Amino acid sequence: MKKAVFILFLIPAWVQANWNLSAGLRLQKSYHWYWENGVTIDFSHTKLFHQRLHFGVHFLSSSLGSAWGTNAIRQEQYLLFGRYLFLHEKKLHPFIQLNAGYLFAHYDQSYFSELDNDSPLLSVELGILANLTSKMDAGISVGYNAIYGDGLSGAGTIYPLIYQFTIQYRVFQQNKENHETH
Amino acid sequence: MKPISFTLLLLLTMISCTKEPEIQDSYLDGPVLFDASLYQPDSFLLSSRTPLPTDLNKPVIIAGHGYSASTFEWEEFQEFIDNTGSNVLLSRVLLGGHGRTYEDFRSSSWRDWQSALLEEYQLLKAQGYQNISFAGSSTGCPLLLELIAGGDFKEESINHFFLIDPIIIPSSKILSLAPIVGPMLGYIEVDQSPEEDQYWYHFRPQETLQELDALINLVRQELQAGIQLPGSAKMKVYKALRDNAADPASAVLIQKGISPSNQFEVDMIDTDHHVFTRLKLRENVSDADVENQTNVFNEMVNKVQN
Repeated sequence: MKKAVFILFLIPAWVQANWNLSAGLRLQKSYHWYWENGVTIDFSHTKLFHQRLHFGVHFLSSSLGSAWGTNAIRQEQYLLFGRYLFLHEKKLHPFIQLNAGYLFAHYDQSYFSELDNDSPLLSVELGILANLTSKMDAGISVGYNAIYGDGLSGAGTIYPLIYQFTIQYRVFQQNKENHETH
Repeated sequence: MKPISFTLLLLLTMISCTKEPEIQDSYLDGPVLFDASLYQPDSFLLSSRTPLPTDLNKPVIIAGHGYSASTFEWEEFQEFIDNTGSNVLLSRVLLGGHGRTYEDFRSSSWRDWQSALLEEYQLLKAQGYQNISFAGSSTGCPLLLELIAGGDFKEESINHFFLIDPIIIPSSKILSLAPIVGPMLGYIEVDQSPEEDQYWYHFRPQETLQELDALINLVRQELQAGIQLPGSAKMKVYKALRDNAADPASAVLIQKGISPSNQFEVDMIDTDHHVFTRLKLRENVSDADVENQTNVFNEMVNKVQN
Protein backbone atom coordinates (compact mmCIF):
# COMPACT_ATOMS: atom_id res chain seq x y z
CA MET A 1 0.00 0.00 0.00
CA LYS A 2 2.85 2.39 0.91
CA LYS A 3 4.44 1.61 -2.43
CA ALA A 4 1.24 2.47 -4.29
CA VAL A 5 0.99 5.81 -2.51
CA PHE A 6 4.67 6.48 -3.27
CA ILE A 7 4.10 5.74 -7.00
CA LEU A 8 1.19 8.15 -7.01
CA PHE A 9 3.54 10.86 -5.77
CA LEU A 10 5.81 10.17 -8.74
CA ILE A 11 3.03 10.95 -11.22
CA PRO A 12 3.30 14.66 -12.04
CA ALA A 13 0.55 16.84 -10.69
CA TRP A 14 -0.40 18.12 -14.18
CA VAL A 15 -1.09 14.53 -15.21
CA GLN A 16 -3.25 13.94 -12.19
CA ALA A 17 -5.06 17.20 -12.94
CA ASN A 18 -6.13 16.14 -16.42
CA TRP A 19 -6.25 12.40 -16.45
CA ASN A 20 -8.45 9.77 -14.86
CA LEU A 21 -6.87 6.48 -13.97
CA SER A 22 -8.57 3.26 -12.89
CA ALA A 23 -6.99 -0.10 -12.22
CA GLY A 24 -8.56 -3.43 -11.48
CA LEU A 25 -9.11 -7.06 -12.29
CA ARG A 26 -10.45 -8.55 -15.51
CA LEU A 27 -11.85 -12.10 -15.50
CA GLN A 28 -12.23 -13.33 -19.08
CA LYS A 29 -13.68 -16.61 -20.37
CA SER A 30 -13.60 -17.86 -23.93
CA TYR A 31 -16.71 -19.87 -24.72
CA HIS A 32 -15.77 -23.57 -24.59
CA TRP A 33 -12.19 -22.65 -23.82
CA TYR A 34 -10.17 -21.10 -20.99
CA TRP A 35 -10.53 -18.64 -18.20
CA GLU A 36 -7.79 -16.05 -18.67
CA ASN A 37 -7.64 -13.56 -15.84
CA GLY A 38 -5.44 -10.59 -15.06
CA VAL A 39 -5.20 -6.87 -14.57
CA THR A 40 -6.59 -3.92 -16.44
CA ILE A 41 -5.58 -0.25 -16.40
CA ASP A 42 -7.97 2.34 -17.79
CA PHE A 43 -7.19 5.97 -18.71
CA SER A 44 -9.35 8.84 -19.85
CA HIS A 45 -8.60 12.52 -20.36
CA THR A 46 -10.76 15.39 -19.18
CA LYS A 47 -10.73 17.10 -22.57
CA LEU A 48 -11.14 14.03 -24.75
CA PHE A 49 -14.77 13.36 -25.77
CA HIS A 50 -15.95 14.55 -22.35
CA GLN A 51 -14.23 11.54 -20.76
CA ARG A 52 -16.35 9.16 -22.80
CA LEU A 53 -13.32 7.78 -24.61
CA HIS A 54 -11.19 5.49 -22.50
CA PHE A 55 -8.13 3.55 -23.38
CA GLY A 56 -5.76 1.29 -21.55
CA VAL A 57 -4.15 -2.09 -21.27
CA HIS A 58 -5.07 -5.60 -20.19
CA PHE A 59 -2.67 -8.30 -19.17
CA LEU A 60 -4.38 -11.70 -19.02
CA SER A 61 -3.02 -15.15 -18.37
CA SER A 62 -4.46 -18.65 -18.24
CA SER A 63 -1.97 -19.22 -15.41
CA LEU A 64 -4.30 -17.03 -13.34
CA GLY A 65 -7.31 -18.93 -14.69
CA SER A 66 -7.80 -22.36 -16.24
CA ALA A 67 -4.12 -23.34 -16.02
CA TRP A 68 -3.95 -22.61 -12.28
CA GLY A 69 -3.05 -26.01 -10.83
CA THR A 70 -4.19 -27.91 -13.92
CA ASN A 71 -2.74 -29.32 -17.15
CA ALA A 72 -4.15 -26.51 -19.29
CA ILE A 73 -1.83 -24.64 -21.67
CA ARG A 74 -0.25 -21.54 -20.14
CA GLN A 75 -0.74 -18.51 -22.35
CA GLU A 76 -0.66 -14.74 -21.96
CA GLN A 77 -2.52 -11.97 -23.72
CA TYR A 78 -1.15 -8.42 -23.90
CA LEU A 79 -3.88 -6.06 -25.08
CA LEU A 80 -4.37 -2.37 -25.75
CA PHE A 81 -7.96 -1.20 -25.78
CA GLY A 82 -10.10 1.79 -26.73
CA ARG A 83 -13.56 2.06 -25.20
CA TYR A 84 -16.37 4.49 -25.90
CA LEU A 85 -19.00 4.99 -23.20
CA PHE A 86 -22.61 5.93 -23.95
CA LEU A 87 -25.06 7.55 -21.52
CA HIS A 88 -22.11 9.02 -19.69
CA GLU A 89 -24.27 11.02 -17.32
CA LYS A 90 -25.99 7.86 -16.02
CA LYS A 91 -24.74 5.27 -13.58
CA LEU A 92 -24.97 2.48 -16.17
CA HIS A 93 -22.88 3.08 -19.29
CA PRO A 94 -23.27 0.85 -22.34
CA PHE A 95 -19.95 0.69 -24.15
CA ILE A 96 -18.24 -0.55 -27.25
CA GLN A 97 -14.62 -1.56 -27.01
CA LEU A 98 -11.88 -2.52 -29.43
CA ASN A 99 -8.96 -4.65 -28.20
CA ALA A 100 -5.73 -5.28 -30.08
CA GLY A 101 -2.69 -7.12 -28.86
CA TYR A 102 -0.67 -10.28 -28.92
CA LEU A 103 -0.87 -13.79 -27.49
CA PHE A 104 1.94 -16.12 -26.47
CA ALA A 105 1.18 -19.77 -25.67
CA HIS A 106 3.62 -22.22 -24.09
CA TYR A 107 3.63 -25.72 -25.56
CA ASP A 108 6.75 -26.62 -23.54
CA GLN A 109 7.97 -29.59 -25.61
CA SER A 110 10.53 -29.38 -28.41
CA TYR A 111 8.47 -31.65 -30.67
CA PHE A 112 5.78 -28.96 -30.77
CA SER A 113 8.27 -26.30 -31.88
CA GLU A 114 6.89 -26.25 -35.45
CA LEU A 115 3.40 -25.29 -34.27
CA ASP A 116 2.39 -21.63 -34.21
CA ASN A 117 2.18 -20.59 -30.59
CA ASP A 118 1.81 -16.83 -30.90
CA SER A 119 -0.70 -14.65 -32.65
CA PRO A 120 -1.94 -11.10 -32.98
CA LEU A 121 -5.25 -10.48 -31.25
CA LEU A 122 -8.13 -8.31 -32.39
CA SER A 123 -11.54 -8.28 -30.75
CA VAL A 124 -14.60 -6.12 -30.33
CA GLU A 125 -16.77 -6.05 -27.21
CA LEU A 126 -20.20 -4.74 -26.30
CA GLY A 127 -21.01 -4.30 -22.63
CA ILE A 128 -22.14 -2.24 -19.69
CA LEU A 129 -20.03 -0.42 -17.13
CA ALA A 130 -21.66 0.42 -13.81
CA ASN A 131 -20.55 3.02 -11.26
CA LEU A 132 -20.84 1.01 -8.04
CA THR A 133 -19.54 3.73 -5.73
CA SER A 134 -17.66 6.97 -6.14
CA LYS A 135 -14.46 4.93 -6.37
CA MET A 136 -15.46 1.58 -7.85
CA ASP A 137 -16.72 0.52 -11.28
CA ALA A 138 -17.73 -2.90 -12.56
CA GLY A 139 -18.32 -4.00 -16.13
CA ILE A 140 -19.52 -6.98 -18.09
CA SER A 141 -19.28 -7.52 -21.82
CA VAL A 142 -19.46 -10.03 -24.63
CA GLY A 143 -16.87 -9.97 -27.36
CA TYR A 144 -15.75 -11.58 -30.56
CA ASN A 145 -12.17 -12.48 -31.45
CA ALA A 146 -11.59 -11.76 -35.13
CA ILE A 147 -8.28 -13.65 -35.34
CA TYR A 148 -7.84 -17.34 -34.54
CA GLY A 149 -5.96 -20.30 -35.99
CA ASP A 150 -7.50 -22.59 -38.61
CA GLY A 151 -5.35 -25.68 -38.08
CA LEU A 152 -3.16 -24.80 -41.06
CA SER A 153 -1.63 -21.67 -39.58
CA GLY A 154 -2.05 -19.46 -36.53
CA ALA A 155 -2.21 -20.34 -32.86
CA GLY A 156 -4.91 -22.92 -32.15
CA THR A 157 -5.58 -21.67 -28.65
CA ILE A 158 -7.79 -18.66 -29.43
CA TYR A 159 -11.58 -19.13 -29.50
CA PRO A 160 -14.01 -16.65 -31.07
CA LEU A 161 -16.58 -15.86 -28.38
CA ILE A 162 -15.44 -14.21 -25.15
CA TYR A 163 -17.20 -12.79 -22.13
CA GLN A 164 -15.68 -10.94 -19.23
CA PHE A 165 -16.20 -9.27 -15.89
CA THR A 166 -14.12 -6.30 -14.76
CA ILE A 167 -13.96 -4.58 -11.43
CA GLN A 168 -11.78 -1.52 -11.11
CA TYR A 169 -10.80 1.17 -8.62
CA ARG A 170 -10.48 4.83 -9.55
CA VAL A 171 -6.93 5.68 -8.54
CA PHE A 172 -7.43 9.32 -9.39
CA GLN A 173 -10.33 11.08 -11.00
CA GLN A 174 -11.31 14.57 -12.11
CA ASN A 175 -14.62 16.18 -11.42
CA LYS A 176 -16.53 15.38 -14.61
CA GLU A 177 -19.04 18.25 -14.38
CA ASN A 178 -16.37 20.90 -13.80
CA HIS A 179 -14.41 19.89 -16.85
CA GLU A 180 -17.44 19.48 -19.09
CA THR A 181 -18.54 23.10 -18.44
CA HIS A 182 -15.13 24.54 -19.31
CA MET B 1 -35.20 -4.11 -31.98
CA LYS B 2 -38.06 -2.96 -34.21
CA PRO B 3 -40.99 -5.39 -34.53
CA ILE B 4 -40.51 -5.79 -38.29
CA SER B 5 -36.86 -6.80 -38.03
CA PHE B 6 -37.69 -9.22 -35.23
CA THR B 7 -40.36 -10.83 -37.40
CA LEU B 8 -37.92 -11.08 -40.29
CA LEU B 9 -35.32 -12.70 -38.09
CA LEU B 10 -37.89 -15.16 -36.73
CA LEU B 11 -38.99 -16.02 -40.27
CA LEU B 12 -35.44 -16.61 -41.43
CA THR B 13 -34.79 -18.81 -38.42
CA MET B 14 -37.93 -20.84 -39.11
CA ILE B 15 -36.98 -21.28 -42.76
CA SER B 16 -33.51 -22.46 -41.77
CA CYS B 17 -34.87 -24.86 -39.16
CA THR B 18 -37.47 -26.44 -41.39
CA LYS B 19 -35.21 -26.73 -44.44
CA GLU B 20 -34.41 -30.37 -45.14
CA PRO B 21 -31.33 -31.51 -47.05
CA GLU B 22 -31.82 -32.93 -50.52
CA ILE B 23 -30.43 -36.39 -49.98
CA GLN B 24 -29.57 -38.49 -53.00
CA ASP B 25 -29.56 -42.28 -53.08
CA SER B 26 -25.86 -42.24 -53.90
CA TYR B 27 -25.10 -40.59 -50.55
CA LEU B 28 -24.32 -42.48 -47.37
CA ASP B 29 -27.03 -40.26 -45.86
CA GLY B 30 -29.78 -41.89 -47.97
CA PRO B 31 -31.99 -44.95 -47.45
CA VAL B 32 -30.17 -47.10 -50.02
CA LEU B 33 -26.48 -47.05 -49.20
CA PHE B 34 -25.25 -48.22 -45.77
CA ASP B 35 -21.85 -49.00 -44.31
CA ALA B 36 -20.80 -52.48 -45.45
CA SER B 37 -20.21 -53.60 -41.87
CA LEU B 38 -23.98 -53.61 -41.34
CA TYR B 39 -24.44 -56.22 -44.10
CA GLN B 40 -21.33 -58.27 -43.39
CA PRO B 41 -20.35 -57.73 -39.76
CA ASP B 42 -18.04 -60.75 -39.78
CA SER B 43 -15.81 -59.01 -42.34
CA PHE B 44 -15.32 -56.07 -39.98
CA LEU B 45 -15.94 -57.08 -36.37
CA LEU B 46 -13.62 -59.68 -34.91
CA SER B 47 -16.26 -60.64 -32.36
CA SER B 48 -18.65 -61.59 -35.19
CA ARG B 49 -15.97 -63.26 -37.29
CA THR B 50 -15.01 -65.96 -34.83
CA PRO B 51 -17.58 -66.79 -32.14
CA LEU B 52 -15.26 -69.48 -30.74
CA PRO B 53 -11.76 -68.16 -31.44
CA THR B 54 -8.64 -70.23 -31.00
CA ASP B 55 -6.01 -67.53 -31.54
CA LEU B 56 -6.64 -65.75 -28.25
CA ASN B 57 -3.03 -64.66 -27.75
CA LYS B 58 -2.81 -62.82 -31.06
CA PRO B 59 -2.69 -59.03 -30.74
CA VAL B 60 -6.03 -57.39 -31.49
CA ILE B 61 -6.56 -53.77 -32.50
CA ILE B 62 -10.05 -52.31 -32.21
CA ALA B 63 -10.24 -49.37 -34.63
CA GLY B 64 -12.77 -46.55 -34.44
CA HIS B 65 -13.27 -43.97 -37.17
CA GLY B 66 -14.06 -40.27 -37.04
CA TYR B 67 -17.17 -38.10 -36.95
CA SER B 68 -19.48 -38.58 -39.98
CA ALA B 69 -17.09 -41.18 -41.42
CA SER B 70 -17.38 -44.97 -41.69
CA THR B 71 -15.31 -48.15 -41.43
CA PHE B 72 -13.75 -47.16 -44.76
CA GLU B 73 -11.35 -44.92 -42.81
CA TRP B 74 -9.48 -48.01 -41.55
CA GLU B 75 -9.74 -50.12 -44.72
CA GLU B 76 -6.14 -49.48 -45.72
CA PHE B 77 -4.90 -50.73 -42.36
CA GLN B 78 -6.77 -54.00 -42.90
CA GLU B 79 -5.18 -54.26 -46.36
CA PHE B 80 -1.75 -53.53 -44.87
CA ILE B 81 -2.20 -56.31 -42.32
CA ASP B 82 -3.39 -58.73 -45.00
CA ASN B 83 -0.64 -57.81 -47.46
CA THR B 84 2.21 -57.98 -44.96
CA GLY B 85 0.95 -61.15 -43.28
CA SER B 86 1.13 -59.40 -39.93
CA ASN B 87 0.26 -61.45 -36.91
CA VAL B 88 -2.38 -58.90 -35.84
CA LEU B 89 -6.18 -59.06 -35.84
CA LEU B 90 -8.10 -55.91 -36.68
CA SER B 91 -11.66 -55.21 -35.65
CA ARG B 92 -13.13 -52.26 -37.55
CA VAL B 93 -15.97 -50.81 -35.53
CA LEU B 94 -18.74 -48.71 -37.02
CA LEU B 95 -19.54 -45.99 -34.50
CA GLY B 96 -23.12 -45.90 -33.22
CA GLY B 97 -25.47 -43.75 -35.29
CA HIS B 98 -23.06 -43.81 -38.24
CA GLY B 99 -23.21 -45.60 -41.58
CA ARG B 100 -27.00 -45.46 -41.60
CA THR B 101 -29.52 -42.84 -42.72
CA TYR B 102 -29.26 -39.10 -42.14
CA GLU B 103 -32.12 -39.37 -39.63
CA ASP B 104 -30.34 -42.12 -37.70
CA PHE B 105 -27.23 -39.98 -37.60
CA ARG B 106 -29.15 -36.86 -36.59
CA SER B 107 -30.82 -38.56 -33.63
CA SER B 108 -27.60 -40.12 -32.27
CA SER B 109 -25.52 -38.80 -29.38
CA TRP B 110 -21.78 -39.08 -28.84
CA ARG B 111 -22.55 -41.68 -26.18
CA ASP B 112 -24.18 -43.74 -28.94
CA TRP B 113 -21.11 -43.29 -31.14
CA GLN B 114 -18.88 -44.41 -28.28
CA SER B 115 -20.94 -47.41 -27.17
CA ALA B 116 -20.01 -49.45 -30.26
CA LEU B 117 -16.31 -49.32 -29.29
CA LEU B 118 -16.93 -50.43 -25.70
CA GLU B 119 -19.34 -53.16 -26.82
CA GLU B 120 -16.79 -54.68 -29.19
CA TYR B 121 -14.13 -54.56 -26.49
CA GLN B 122 -16.40 -56.32 -24.00
CA LEU B 123 -17.34 -59.01 -26.52
CA LEU B 124 -13.69 -59.70 -27.35
CA LYS B 125 -12.78 -59.82 -23.66
CA ALA B 126 -15.62 -62.27 -23.07
CA GLN B 127 -14.35 -64.41 -25.92
CA GLY B 128 -11.01 -64.55 -24.17
CA TYR B 129 -8.68 -62.29 -26.16
CA GLN B 130 -5.69 -61.36 -24.01
CA ASN B 131 -3.83 -58.69 -25.97
CA ILE B 132 -6.17 -55.90 -26.96
CA SER B 133 -5.26 -52.43 -28.23
CA PHE B 134 -7.30 -49.54 -29.58
CA ALA B 135 -6.80 -47.22 -32.52
CA GLY B 136 -8.85 -44.10 -33.10
CA SER B 137 -8.88 -41.57 -35.88
CA SER B 138 -10.11 -38.01 -35.44
CA THR B 139 -13.28 -38.16 -33.28
CA GLY B 140 -12.55 -41.80 -32.53
CA CYS B 141 -9.75 -40.43 -30.31
CA PRO B 142 -11.77 -38.26 -27.88
CA LEU B 143 -14.26 -41.13 -27.67
CA LEU B 144 -11.42 -43.40 -26.46
CA LEU B 145 -9.99 -40.73 -24.16
CA GLU B 146 -13.40 -40.27 -22.59
CA LEU B 147 -13.67 -44.02 -21.95
CA ILE B 148 -10.28 -43.91 -20.19
CA ALA B 149 -11.24 -40.82 -18.19
CA GLY B 150 -14.58 -42.38 -17.28
CA GLY B 151 -12.81 -45.37 -15.73
CA ASP B 152 -14.19 -47.95 -18.17
CA PHE B 153 -10.72 -49.48 -18.56
CA LYS B 154 -9.55 -48.90 -14.98
CA GLU B 155 -9.20 -52.58 -14.07
CA GLU B 156 -8.36 -53.70 -17.60
CA SER B 157 -5.04 -54.52 -19.21
CA ILE B 158 -4.97 -52.69 -22.52
CA ASN B 159 -1.79 -52.92 -24.54
CA HIS B 160 -1.80 -49.70 -26.58
CA PHE B 161 -3.93 -46.74 -27.55
CA PHE B 162 -3.07 -45.27 -30.96
CA LEU B 163 -4.52 -41.85 -31.74
CA ILE B 164 -4.38 -40.65 -35.36
CA ASP B 165 -5.09 -36.93 -35.73
CA PRO B 166 -7.09 -36.63 -32.51
CA ILE B 167 -9.52 -33.73 -32.36
CA ILE B 168 -9.69 -31.89 -29.04
CA ILE B 169 -9.41 -28.42 -30.55
CA PRO B 170 -11.30 -28.10 -33.82
CA SER B 171 -9.54 -26.31 -36.64
CA SER B 172 -12.75 -24.43 -37.32
CA LYS B 173 -13.25 -22.61 -34.03
CA ILE B 174 -16.78 -21.78 -35.17
CA LEU B 175 -17.68 -25.33 -34.07
CA SER B 176 -17.57 -24.01 -30.50
CA LEU B 177 -20.57 -21.83 -31.39
CA ALA B 178 -22.66 -24.85 -32.52
CA PRO B 179 -25.00 -24.64 -29.50
CA ILE B 180 -25.73 -21.00 -30.35
CA VAL B 181 -25.85 -20.86 -34.15
CA GLY B 182 -26.53 -24.55 -34.88
CA PRO B 183 -30.34 -24.38 -34.60
CA MET B 184 -30.34 -21.56 -37.16
CA LEU B 185 -28.27 -23.57 -39.64
CA GLY B 186 -30.10 -26.91 -39.54
CA TYR B 187 -27.24 -28.74 -41.22
CA ILE B 188 -23.95 -28.22 -43.04
CA GLU B 189 -23.26 -29.51 -46.53
CA VAL B 190 -19.78 -30.88 -47.16
CA ASP B 191 -17.93 -30.36 -50.42
CA GLN B 192 -16.55 -33.81 -51.24
CA SER B 193 -16.27 -36.10 -54.25
CA PRO B 194 -19.10 -38.47 -55.31
CA GLU B 195 -16.91 -41.39 -54.22
CA GLU B 196 -16.42 -39.86 -50.78
CA ASP B 197 -20.19 -39.35 -50.53
CA GLN B 198 -20.46 -43.14 -50.22
CA TYR B 199 -18.30 -43.26 -47.10
CA TRP B 200 -18.81 -39.90 -45.37
CA TYR B 201 -22.09 -38.13 -44.73
CA HIS B 202 -22.72 -35.43 -47.30
CA PHE B 203 -24.88 -33.49 -44.83
CA ARG B 204 -23.93 -32.92 -41.21
CA PRO B 205 -26.94 -32.27 -38.98
CA GLN B 206 -26.43 -29.44 -36.52
CA GLU B 207 -27.51 -31.76 -33.70
CA THR B 208 -24.46 -33.95 -34.36
CA LEU B 209 -22.19 -30.91 -34.57
CA GLN B 210 -23.44 -29.98 -31.11
CA GLU B 211 -22.71 -33.53 -29.94
CA LEU B 212 -19.19 -33.32 -31.35
CA ASP B 213 -18.65 -29.96 -29.69
CA ALA B 214 -19.96 -31.28 -26.36
CA LEU B 215 -17.66 -34.33 -26.57
CA ILE B 216 -14.45 -32.44 -27.30
CA ASN B 217 -15.28 -29.78 -24.72
CA LEU B 218 -15.76 -32.49 -22.09
CA VAL B 219 -12.56 -34.31 -23.02
CA ARG B 220 -10.62 -31.04 -22.99
CA GLN B 221 -11.75 -30.49 -19.41
CA GLU B 222 -10.93 -34.09 -18.49
CA LEU B 223 -7.42 -33.66 -19.92
CA GLN B 224 -7.10 -30.42 -18.00
CA ALA B 225 -7.88 -32.30 -14.78
CA GLY B 226 -5.60 -35.18 -15.87
CA ILE B 227 -6.31 -38.57 -17.42
CA GLN B 228 -4.35 -41.57 -16.19
CA LEU B 229 -3.66 -44.46 -18.52
CA PRO B 230 -4.96 -47.77 -17.16
CA GLY B 231 -2.25 -50.07 -15.78
CA SER B 232 0.76 -50.34 -18.06
CA ALA B 233 -1.13 -49.30 -21.20
CA LYS B 234 0.82 -47.07 -23.57
CA MET B 235 -0.46 -44.28 -25.77
CA LYS B 236 0.98 -43.03 -29.04
CA VAL B 237 -0.34 -39.90 -30.76
CA TYR B 238 0.33 -39.24 -34.45
CA LYS B 239 -0.66 -35.71 -35.39
CA ALA B 240 -0.49 -33.90 -38.72
CA LEU B 241 1.38 -30.61 -38.47
CA ARG B 242 -1.26 -28.91 -40.65
CA ASP B 243 -4.82 -30.12 -40.42
CA ASN B 244 -8.02 -28.38 -41.49
CA ALA B 245 -10.20 -30.48 -39.18
CA ALA B 246 -8.29 -31.19 -35.96
CA ASP B 247 -6.07 -28.33 -34.83
CA PRO B 248 -2.49 -29.57 -34.24
CA ALA B 249 -2.60 -27.96 -30.77
CA SER B 250 -4.91 -30.86 -29.85
CA ALA B 251 -1.73 -32.93 -29.45
CA VAL B 252 -0.42 -30.40 -26.92
CA LEU B 253 -3.53 -30.79 -24.76
CA ILE B 254 -3.24 -34.58 -24.84
CA GLN B 255 0.48 -34.52 -24.04
CA LYS B 256 -0.15 -32.24 -21.06
CA GLY B 257 -3.17 -34.16 -19.83
CA ILE B 258 -2.07 -37.81 -20.06
CA SER B 259 -0.09 -39.56 -17.34
CA PRO B 260 2.18 -41.35 -16.65
CA SER B 261 4.40 -39.50 -19.10
CA ASN B 262 6.73 -42.48 -19.58
CA GLN B 263 3.87 -44.43 -21.17
CA PHE B 264 3.12 -41.67 -23.66
CA GLU B 265 4.65 -40.67 -27.02
CA VAL B 266 3.87 -38.09 -29.74
CA ASP B 267 4.94 -37.94 -33.37
CA MET B 268 4.16 -34.75 -35.28
CA ILE B 269 3.82 -35.76 -38.94
CA ASP B 270 4.80 -33.43 -41.76
CA THR B 271 1.56 -33.55 -43.72
CA ASP B 272 -1.56 -31.48 -44.26
CA HIS B 273 -3.98 -34.43 -44.57
CA HIS B 274 -6.49 -34.95 -41.80
CA VAL B 275 -6.32 -38.65 -40.85
CA PHE B 276 -3.21 -38.99 -42.97
CA THR B 277 -3.34 -42.81 -42.72
CA ARG B 278 -6.32 -42.80 -45.08
CA LEU B 279 -5.03 -42.11 -48.57
CA LYS B 280 -7.71 -43.73 -50.73
CA LEU B 281 -9.94 -41.27 -52.62
CA ARG B 282 -7.54 -38.39 -51.94
CA GLU B 283 -6.61 -36.28 -54.92
CA ASN B 284 -2.99 -35.47 -54.24
CA VAL B 285 -1.09 -38.34 -52.67
CA SER B 286 2.68 -37.96 -52.62
CA ASP B 287 5.39 -40.51 -51.99
CA ALA B 288 5.89 -38.91 -48.59
CA ASP B 289 2.20 -39.53 -47.78
CA VAL B 290 2.56 -43.21 -48.64
CA GLU B 291 5.72 -43.39 -46.55
CA ASN B 292 3.97 -41.76 -43.58
CA GLN B 293 1.13 -44.24 -43.81
CA THR B 294 3.44 -47.24 -44.09
CA ASN B 295 5.66 -46.09 -41.23
CA VAL B 296 2.72 -45.59 -38.89
CA PHE B 297 1.05 -48.89 -39.78
CA ASN B 298 4.37 -50.68 -39.34
CA GLU B 299 4.95 -49.08 -35.98
CA MET B 300 1.44 -49.89 -34.75
CA VAL B 301 1.80 -53.53 -35.74
CA ASN B 302 5.25 -53.79 -34.17
CA LYS B 303 4.21 -52.12 -30.92
CA VAL B 304 1.26 -54.43 -30.24
CA GLN B 305 3.43 -57.49 -30.84
CA ASN B 306 6.02 -56.49 -28.24
